[in-house]
Amino acid sequence: MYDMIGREADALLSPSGFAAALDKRLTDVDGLIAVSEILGFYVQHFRAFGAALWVFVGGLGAGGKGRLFLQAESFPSLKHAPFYHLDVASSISGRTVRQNTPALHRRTEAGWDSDIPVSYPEVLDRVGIDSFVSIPIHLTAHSDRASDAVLTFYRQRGWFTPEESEELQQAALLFAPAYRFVLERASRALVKEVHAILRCRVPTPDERAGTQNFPPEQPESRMQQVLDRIASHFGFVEATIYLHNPSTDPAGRFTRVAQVWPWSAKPLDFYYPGDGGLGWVLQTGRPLRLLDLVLYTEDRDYYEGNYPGMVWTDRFDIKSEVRRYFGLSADEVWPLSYVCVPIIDGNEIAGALRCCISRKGPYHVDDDAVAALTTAADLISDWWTNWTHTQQEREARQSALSIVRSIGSAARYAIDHVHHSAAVERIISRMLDLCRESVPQADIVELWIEESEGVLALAEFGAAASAPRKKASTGEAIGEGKRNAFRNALSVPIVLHTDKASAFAFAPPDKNVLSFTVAPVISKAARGVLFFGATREAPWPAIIAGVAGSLADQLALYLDFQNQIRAMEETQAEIEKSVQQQADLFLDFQHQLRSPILIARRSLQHLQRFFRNPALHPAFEELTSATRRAATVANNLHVFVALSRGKRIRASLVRLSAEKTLEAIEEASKVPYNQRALNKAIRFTIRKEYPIPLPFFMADPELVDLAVDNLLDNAVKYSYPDTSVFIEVFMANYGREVHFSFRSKGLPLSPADSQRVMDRGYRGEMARMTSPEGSGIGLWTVAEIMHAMSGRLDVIPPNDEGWLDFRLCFRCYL
Amino acid sequence: MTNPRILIIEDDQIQAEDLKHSLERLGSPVEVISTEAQFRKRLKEADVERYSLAVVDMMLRWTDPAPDMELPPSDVIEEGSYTAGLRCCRSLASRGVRCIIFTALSPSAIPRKPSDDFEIIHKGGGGYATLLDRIRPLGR
Repeated sequence: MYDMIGREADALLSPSGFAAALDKRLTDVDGLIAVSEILGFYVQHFRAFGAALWVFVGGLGAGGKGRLFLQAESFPSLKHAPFYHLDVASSISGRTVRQNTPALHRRTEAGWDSDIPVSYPEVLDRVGIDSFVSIPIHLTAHSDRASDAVLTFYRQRGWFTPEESEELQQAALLFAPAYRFVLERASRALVKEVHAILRCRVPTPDERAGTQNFPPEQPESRMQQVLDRIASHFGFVEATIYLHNPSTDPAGRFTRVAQVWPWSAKPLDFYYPGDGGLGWVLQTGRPLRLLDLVLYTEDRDYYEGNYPGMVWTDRFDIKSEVRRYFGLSADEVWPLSYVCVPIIDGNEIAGALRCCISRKGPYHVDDDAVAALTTAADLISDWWTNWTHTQQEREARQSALSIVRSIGSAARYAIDHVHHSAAVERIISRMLDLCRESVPQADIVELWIEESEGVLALAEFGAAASAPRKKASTGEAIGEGKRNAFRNALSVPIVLHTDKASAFAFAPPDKNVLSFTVAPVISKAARGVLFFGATREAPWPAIIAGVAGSLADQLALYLDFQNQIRAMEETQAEIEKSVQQQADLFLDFQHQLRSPILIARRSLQHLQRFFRNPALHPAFEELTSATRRAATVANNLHVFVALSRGKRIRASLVRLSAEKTLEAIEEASKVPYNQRALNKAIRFTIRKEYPIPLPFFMADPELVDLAVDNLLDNAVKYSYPDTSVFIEVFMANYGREVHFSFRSKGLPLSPADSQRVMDRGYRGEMARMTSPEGSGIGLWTVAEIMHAMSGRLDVIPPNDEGWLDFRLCFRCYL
Repeated sequence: MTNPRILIIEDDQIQAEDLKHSLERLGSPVEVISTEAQFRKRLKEADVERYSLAVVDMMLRWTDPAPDMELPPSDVIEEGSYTAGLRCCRSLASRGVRCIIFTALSPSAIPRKPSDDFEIIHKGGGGYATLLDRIRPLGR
C-alpha cells in the first residue's frame, strides 16, 4: 500500500484528490492494521517523517487529568515507534487535547520556538525531529469532550509551513470517520469469521452414532482456531480461552481450552486461573481492561473505582518481570495492555477470553475492541453451551444405559434368588457397588435406613453384613448440613442435589463435603436416604441426581422385597415350628392311643371266650367294631404323621395267601363300625370259589388289615342303603398280579375325581354332606401303604351300572 | 303331669339308640332323627312344638347317600355340617322347644351367639349322667 501511495502522491496534492484517494484506500481495509496504513497515507501525502495517533483516556495519571496512549503510528524509516505513551500534563499533544487547538512547532538552533513543555525531548532529538503539527480530533462519535485524540505529524530536516499546517488540519477532519469505518469493518469481519469457524458443520449426534469410528468432536481444535483469529485480528501477543466443562470441571473451576502462547516458557503464575484479573472476571462476569500494566500502582484510584472488589497485587515493574521471565531485551516486545471478557451462558459464567496486547498491535484497548471481543465471547458461549449440552446428553444416555443394564443384571439375579433374604442382601450390596461405579466422583456412598425408633442408621450389606447393620446414627455427629439434607429428603421425598463447591470456587475448603446428593429411599416397608458425597473437588453434574434417584428407587424395591421375605421367613419358621410341635403331639397321641386300643381288643377276645351268653353278643360286636375302628383311625394317624415328617412307612413283608386274606376280609366285614352307627343295611358278598388256586403275594399283614378296614369303612359310608359290596379276587397282568376288588354302588365319582380321591385331605362335596366325620386321609393312607408294599390302589370309576371298584393290587409271589 | 316328649337329633345310631333306651326308661316318649334333611322335613309338621326337650348332636350329616338324595340348601353348603346342631337348635328354640346340645366337641369350640338360649353338655366324662340329671326333673 505504501508503494502505491508513493506512486500516486503527486496526483493527490489537491484536498479533493486526497479525500478521493483516502476513500479508495478504505475499500481495501483488511483488519486493524489499516489504521496505521491510513497514517502512512498521510505521511506520504504531506511528506512527513512520521505520524502518530494519540488516544486520550481521562481519569488516569496524576490528579486524574488523563493519559495519552499511542494507538497507531507510521514511521516508515523506523523499525519501532519512538513513543508508547505521553503524560497529558507534560506533553505537547496533551496540551493540544486540553486546549482543543491545533499547534505548529519548530526547532531552531536556540531550541523549540515556544516554551511549551515537551515530553521526551531526548526522543525528538534522537530521531532528529525539527517540526511537528498537533491536531486535536474526535475519534468517538458522541464524545462530550472537546477532543479525545490527537494526530501528530513529524518532519525531519525542515519545518512545516503554516500553509501545510492548514492543509493537514483540513485533511485531519477526514481521519476520524475513516478510523471508525476501519474499526467497524474490521470488527464485523472478525465476528463474521469467528461465526464461520464456529458454525462449521459438525456431524449430528445421529450421524455420529451411526459411524462407529467417529469420535465425539473435541472442542480444543475449534476454540484454537477462534483464538488464533482473534489474536491475529488485534495483534495480541498471547491470549487464552478458559471454559467450564460441567462434565469434567468442579463447579467454579475452568479449563484452559485454547491458548496463543509464543513463549517456550510455561505461563506465568500471575496468569493462572483464579488469580488477579482473570479471577475477578470469572467471579463478577464483567469485562476487565487494563490500559498499561506498568501503571497499575500509579493509577490505583482509577482502577479500584472502576473494578470494585478486585485484588490488586503491587506490581511496580511488571514489564521488567515479563522481560526477565522471557529473557527479552529492553527494546523487545512487552505487553502494554490487557483485556479479559467473560463468556456468559445465560446467567452462568461459562469462561473467559483473556488477551494481552504488545507493541505488535494497537497499544490501547478501546471500547470498540472490548465490544468486538464480547461479541466473539457470545458466539463462543453459544457454541460451547451447545457442545456441553450435547456432551452431557451423551453422558446421560450412556450413564442411563449403564445403570439400566446393571439394574437389569441385578433384577435377573433377583428373579433367581429373591426368595431368600440373604440373597436380597447380596443384591442390595451389588446395588451399592453399582452406586459407587455410577458416581465415581463420590468418595462417600452411604445408605441410611430409618430404624423403628425413628433414627436413621447407616446400613451395611454384603460381606460386611455379618456385622451389625447399625453402624452409626444421625444422632451422632455427621454434620448439620448432612442431617438437614436427610430430614428434607424424608419429609419432602425429592432428590436433593447440592453443588456446594460453587460457594468455594476460589477458596477450596479442606476435608469437608464439598458436594452431595441425597435421594430418598422410600417404600412401603422402608424409609431411608441414599447419600453421595465428595470431599474433594470434582465435577458434580446434575446427571448424578438422576442416577441417584433411579438407584434409590431400585434400592427401595429390594429393601421392600427383603422386608417382605424376612417377614415370610419368620412366619414360615413359626409355621414349621408349629407343624413340628403338632406332629410330635400327634405322634404322642397315636402312641398313647394304640396301646390301650390293642389291650382293649385283646381283652375283648378273652372276654368273648369266657362269656358265651348270646345276649352279650351285640355288646361284644359293638365293642369289637368300636375298638377296631379306633385302631384304624389311630393307624391312619400314624401313617399321616410319619409321612408328614418325611419318614417312610416301614412294611414287614411276608408271604401271604390270597385265600387267607379273603378270610380276613370277611372277618373284618362283619364288624364295620359305621355299619351300625349309620344304621345302614350294607351287605358284604365275598366270593370264595375260584376255578384255580389263589396265588400268594408279599405284603405286611397289619398294613393289609389297615387298607381293608379303610376300604370297608368307605364302602359303608358312601354306598346307597340296602346295597351290596362285592369283594373278590382277580388275577391280572397275565397272572403277575393279584387284585382284591371292592365293588359298591354309591355316590357318583367322576373319572377326574377318581384320581383326586387319593389326594391327602380331598373330600368331595357330596361326601361331606353325607358323612361329615372324616378327614380325607383314608384312601390316601391306603394308597401310601400299598406303595410301601410295592403294590398300588386302583380306583376304577363307576361303570354304566354304577359300580365303583377299588382294588388292592399286589405282585404275585412266584 | 305327663312325661315330656323328647326329640333326639343324633346321626350316630349306636349312641342314639343308647340314649333313647335310657330316656324311655325314664318314661318319656322319644323320637330319633339322624340327618338334618330329615329334621327339616319333620320341622314342617305341626306337632313339633309338642316336644318339651330336644337333645341335639352338634355335627350332623345332611342326608344318607341315595340315588335320589336331596341336595342341601345354600345355607347348609355355606355353613357346613359342623354347625348343623346349632341350626337345628335355633329352629326349635324359635318354636319354644328347649334344647340341649350333647356333643363330643369342646363347648368353647361351639360358635354360640349371645341370643342362643340352650345348654351344652360334653359327651365325655360324666356328660351322660349330667344329661340324664337335666332330663329327670322334667318328668316329675
